[in-house]
Amino acid sequence: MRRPRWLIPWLLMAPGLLWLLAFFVLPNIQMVAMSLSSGTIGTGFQLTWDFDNYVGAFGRFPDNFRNSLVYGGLATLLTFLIGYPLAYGIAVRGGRYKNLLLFLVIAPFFTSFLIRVISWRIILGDNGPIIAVVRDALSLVPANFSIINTPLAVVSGLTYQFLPFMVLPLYVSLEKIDHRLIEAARDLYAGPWRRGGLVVGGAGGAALVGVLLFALGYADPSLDGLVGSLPAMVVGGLAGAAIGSLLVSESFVRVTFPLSLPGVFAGSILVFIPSIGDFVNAELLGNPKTQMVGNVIQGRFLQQNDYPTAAALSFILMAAILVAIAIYARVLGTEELTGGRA
Amino acid sequence: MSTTRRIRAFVDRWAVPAFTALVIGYLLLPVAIMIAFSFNDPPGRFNFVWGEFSLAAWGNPLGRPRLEDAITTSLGVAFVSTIAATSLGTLIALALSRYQFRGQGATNLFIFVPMATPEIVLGASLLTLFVATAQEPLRTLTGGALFPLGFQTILVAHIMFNISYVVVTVRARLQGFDRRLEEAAMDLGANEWSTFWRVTFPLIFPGIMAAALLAFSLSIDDFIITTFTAGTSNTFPIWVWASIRNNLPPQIHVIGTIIFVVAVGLVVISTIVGNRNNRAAGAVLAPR
Amino acid sequence: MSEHATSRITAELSRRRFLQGTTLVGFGAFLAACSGGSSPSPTGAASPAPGDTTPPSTGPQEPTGPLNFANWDAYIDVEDDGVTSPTLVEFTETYGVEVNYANAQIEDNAGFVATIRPQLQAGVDTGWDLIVLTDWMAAKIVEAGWAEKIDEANIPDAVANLRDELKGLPWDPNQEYHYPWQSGATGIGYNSVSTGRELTKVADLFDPAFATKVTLLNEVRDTLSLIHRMLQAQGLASDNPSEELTVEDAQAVVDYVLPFVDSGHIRAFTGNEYLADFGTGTTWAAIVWSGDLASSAGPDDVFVYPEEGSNIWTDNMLIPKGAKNKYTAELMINWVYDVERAARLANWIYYISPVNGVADAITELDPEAGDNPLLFPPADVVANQHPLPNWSEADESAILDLFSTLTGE
Repeated sequence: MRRPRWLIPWLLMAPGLLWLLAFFVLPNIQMVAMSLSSGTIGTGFQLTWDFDNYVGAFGRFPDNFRNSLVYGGLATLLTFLIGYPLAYGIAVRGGRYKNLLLFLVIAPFFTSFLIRVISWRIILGDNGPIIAVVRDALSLVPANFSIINTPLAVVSGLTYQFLPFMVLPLYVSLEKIDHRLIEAARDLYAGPWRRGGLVVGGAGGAALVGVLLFALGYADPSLDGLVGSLPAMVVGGLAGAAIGSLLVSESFVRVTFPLSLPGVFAGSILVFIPSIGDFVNAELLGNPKTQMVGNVIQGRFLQQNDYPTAAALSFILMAAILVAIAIYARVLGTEELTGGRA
Repeated sequence: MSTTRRIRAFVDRWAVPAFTALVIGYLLLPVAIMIAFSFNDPPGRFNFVWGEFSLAAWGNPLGRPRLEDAITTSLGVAFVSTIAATSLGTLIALALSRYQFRGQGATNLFIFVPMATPEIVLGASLLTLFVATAQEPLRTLTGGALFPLGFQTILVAHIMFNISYVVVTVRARLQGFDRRLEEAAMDLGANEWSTFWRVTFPLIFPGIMAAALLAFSLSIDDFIITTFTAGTSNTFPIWVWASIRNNLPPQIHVIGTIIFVVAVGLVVISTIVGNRNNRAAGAVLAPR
Repeated sequence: MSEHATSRITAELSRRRFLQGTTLVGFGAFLAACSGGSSPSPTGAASPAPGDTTPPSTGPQEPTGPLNFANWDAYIDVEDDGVTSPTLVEFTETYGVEVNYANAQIEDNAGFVATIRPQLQAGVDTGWDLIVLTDWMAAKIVEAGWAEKIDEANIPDAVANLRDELKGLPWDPNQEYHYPWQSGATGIGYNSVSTGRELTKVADLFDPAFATKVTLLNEVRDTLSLIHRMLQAQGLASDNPSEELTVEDAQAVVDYVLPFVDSGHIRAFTGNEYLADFGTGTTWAAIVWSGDLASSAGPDDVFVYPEEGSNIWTDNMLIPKGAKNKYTAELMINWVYDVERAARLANWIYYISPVNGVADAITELDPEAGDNPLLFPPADVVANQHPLPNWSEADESAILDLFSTLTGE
């Protein structure tokens, strides 16, 4: 007896989707109602179809939304830049130690988050070893330079926290690439990616340094700030050009990288979504000006008991994330990942 | 010219492994600090500042009230929820990437929604649901199975938030999967079931393992959702977060170190055993 | 500032270093004690009770259990094994009821109440028989009608021994719903090596020399009322007492502090991360809780009761509505109000005991503790201690909004 073709995927998905229906959709219906309610915790919340909650939530916290987008975006970019070579190293060069190396990437996360943050506070503290080197020994930074309680600390915390989320899917898609394809590509496009690497690497390196300087507040968004950050951008450009032209081969650019795009997509999603909604890194490593949307939601829920605003904020966040995913999928040309022509 | 080529060959050979080692070192740096501080005798109640070397905490790793309970619950929840969420999520990933069907786009997008929901919203809304099951009419419907809060409600929540992560990770493996391999197996007379277990599953297994690792690490470190669903039971992250308000004993570092060492040790052993088996199998199987 | 009000914290808190005393023998005792789960059971590890062990007349009621008791971490006495609490073991021996003492269940007031509020609203058992909350939160629970009325007949020791200054609070004038567990102070903490000078008042936090090295507490009541009193002392704020801090007062504090936040002088609003940061030179001075510094931090970390006055707060025992073992919870309240038991607890917890006569009893246990200004604040300090404000719902939401402009949330 043959089952109808359309039924099979639904049968496969049924247990998981039912679970999400019961324990995600059902409880959240009440949150949707909450986001449209007015009242206080004392008098109780009444469903009044109060769309002002959304208007207010969107209008009152522009800085927090900006922080979430900027820090989440930077964390995604940095985890990609660190995670891709790492995943490549493990998948292609890992040999028999693949599993062990992969495991070492995730093992730090079996310990408590707080322990990791406290360890970073000890390492990055104002009199800690890192600052001692760059400030006292190398005199690279001014005497009042700090890492803890700055945007740099928040972005570093997010990058550290979500790096495995980038590495695992990248590994998974790099590991399956058939090596015969790469060997065939080597025959076709022998040698390094000289000219392309020089241009793309140089521009990318300079742009990365520029973005970091401005987004982390080390350069003012003005002409002076741009001029001041030019030397650093030139250094970044040179480094990028060197890496691009010396280390990247043409076969990588033409074969390996395109084949790993599903992993790039999955990894960026897995980093971007949780980091944009994160609040603990901003709370434990940031300062009052680096608070993200997650911090506002947390505060409205637990301190202010302003449930409608908290609920509205989280639905705005969800919508923003879904839109971002759709755009990203289109840009990367992996529409099929999010549902094709939809 | 040959010097340039030699330098290039050298860089080509060593750059990637060196970078890999460097990043893994960076990831393990906090772990090194944690291990060091597990041997600390702090000057006060908080294990923040180096006092003097001591084995006291190692002699008494569970010597804090309720710590043992918290660890047992955490490990139990992490194991069961990892297995459950990995199974449910892999099935969804299979369906989404290997079939064309009406509603696929919507389902694809829906999978991202739980990931995009702030944890506090997930936790608070689940708690409201669980409390509702203690009241009519849900009480009759569910038999009050989800109340009082405890191990089972933590588990329900962890499976829920892990499913999406599994789907996304496994799908990265299934994308571009060569279906001709399965078709070939079917042509050779295998039925769907044995095709799946003998062809599909081994091919996507690394993806499933990666997803399971991710799920396990998410579950064992979750704090916010768990506080809402834990009731009178306790997990290791709840224990640690609550401790930090009034003290931070070196036992936390000891337990973290033990979890780390045991987990790495298990993988090292399985790697060694696996390599030995591979070598034995290599004699029989054709080279890859 | 009187000399004893400034307490230099030394590393000589021998009793506190319970971890040093732990041995493998202690571990074995722990395993034996815990074989029945998390509830302490009577074992050889229990020491003889210091006080009167005959139960008070229990009337017709029978204690039921196990008693589910949620508390903050490090808020109960423990023996060298780190887990056995004599106070709880003896309670079990006396009444034959296990205590499921949920150490470290409560991490912050709002966070914990968020996890029981739906049950209380729905009129369902929260699972807890006894919980410990800070005054302002306890007041909310009592005012919402979510606390069980305590039967005075079951708690004679508590009625007799509660210190007078803790009685007659506006939200529970007749002590019908709550009994204090411990009190603590909020003041100024600093690392004397980093600052290079002595700090004596809240205003010192705003010394330009400490720019970017100061943190404030992410607790609206503690931070606003301390700085409000600083402004009062400088003639910049209303004369309202701290407990009646108004929205206008909060506005004045926020207006004063905001430039310091914008300039980065105040680097963060934190929980007690300052403990780690004092050691690494990241934070030099901060608003801190007395008990944190009483029992922790490095030798150069100092707690002061500031000249402008300190905050005093109390954590209170409450029986949540619908508790299954209400009578047993009352027995526990009475149990910890026995003077000698209270002294033993205070000598371990290092906060301020709410029980009369503990100062004398503790001297017998440990002569030094009797002189510790953090456990027994001197009279001039007590005279200048102020309770935390308890706002109406509307004021609270307005003030929290103001405070969030400082913290960025």
